[in-house]
Amino acid sequence: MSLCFSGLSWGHDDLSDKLKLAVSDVLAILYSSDLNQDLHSKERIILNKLSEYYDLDIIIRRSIGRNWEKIQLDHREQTISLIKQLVIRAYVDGMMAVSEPKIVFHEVDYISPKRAELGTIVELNEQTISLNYRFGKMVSGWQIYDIVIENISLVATYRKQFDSFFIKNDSGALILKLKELLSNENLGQSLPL
Amino acid sequence: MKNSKSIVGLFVLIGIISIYFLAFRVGQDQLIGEKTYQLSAIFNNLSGVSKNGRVEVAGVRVGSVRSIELSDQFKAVAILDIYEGVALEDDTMAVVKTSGLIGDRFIELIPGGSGILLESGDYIVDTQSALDLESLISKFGFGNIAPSE
Repeated sequence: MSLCFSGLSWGHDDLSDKLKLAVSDVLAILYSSDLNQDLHSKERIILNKLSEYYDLDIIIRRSIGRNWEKIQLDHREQTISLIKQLVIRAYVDGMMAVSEPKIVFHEVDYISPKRAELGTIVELNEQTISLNYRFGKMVSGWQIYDIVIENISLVATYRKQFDSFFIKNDSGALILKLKELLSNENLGQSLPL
Repeated sequence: MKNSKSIVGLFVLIGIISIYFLAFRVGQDQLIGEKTYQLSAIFNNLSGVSKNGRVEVAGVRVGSVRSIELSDQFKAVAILDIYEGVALEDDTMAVVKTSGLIGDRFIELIPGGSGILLESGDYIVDTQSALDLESLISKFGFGNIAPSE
């Protein structure tokens, strides 16, 4: 899978600024009044935009966990691509049903030299939701490796689902299942994201 | 006479030791002499998790909570004794779970797949505190009473 990076060099102190920019860009696309953009177009644009900021493979690989070894070599690229689409689809579907959220960013909490967490409060339809981004320092810089919504980790949730799935299924079945989910037009209402 | 008193005393002593041993086993569900190594896990909140609490992987006990401390950053640090045969990778996650709706809280480990094994003394930083049902219900069920700006 080809991942395009912005080419900008983001350092230690830019972690918060980079996230604010990424979130701002995504919200701008999501709530753009451009009528020519249908939902699927927006999904593609958001995916490309996010890929400019972060290596999304990391969060997907972490969600798959040790099941990665169970995925056939020729299925891996497609699996990551489909999961990415699924996560973006769920996010876009879910967010499009509500008005534009207001987001408050907290200070970055550096847990160790290679781990950091940035908490945000999302004010959505008169509700406040805590949404924390977990960062790891990789060769490619600070990357998001988990998102924790109301104290529920996206990676932990998906990893357990993959663990259960791979008890009785193989990577071929996973690809079929992901395609089936992606063909569901109302994914946002059926997924917790 | 003296012999019979000694024998009775011995039986009483054995009884007391047996009761103590049973209580220890039931309370901790732990085999004496099990070799362990130590990991620490940093949580935002460890409410309900107690010393000697269970540590599980996929519902199977793999260790216990040795102690719980408060860090300088006001985070809860659980020191875990993990059975020596249980190899965990550095992207393992630790999640506080509840047995049933109102049961005991324990720590569930969700193994990762990084290929880099955790060693004694290492930290698990990817954690998830217990789900606060009361807060969630009050937030989503009853709405937010804080005035919007």
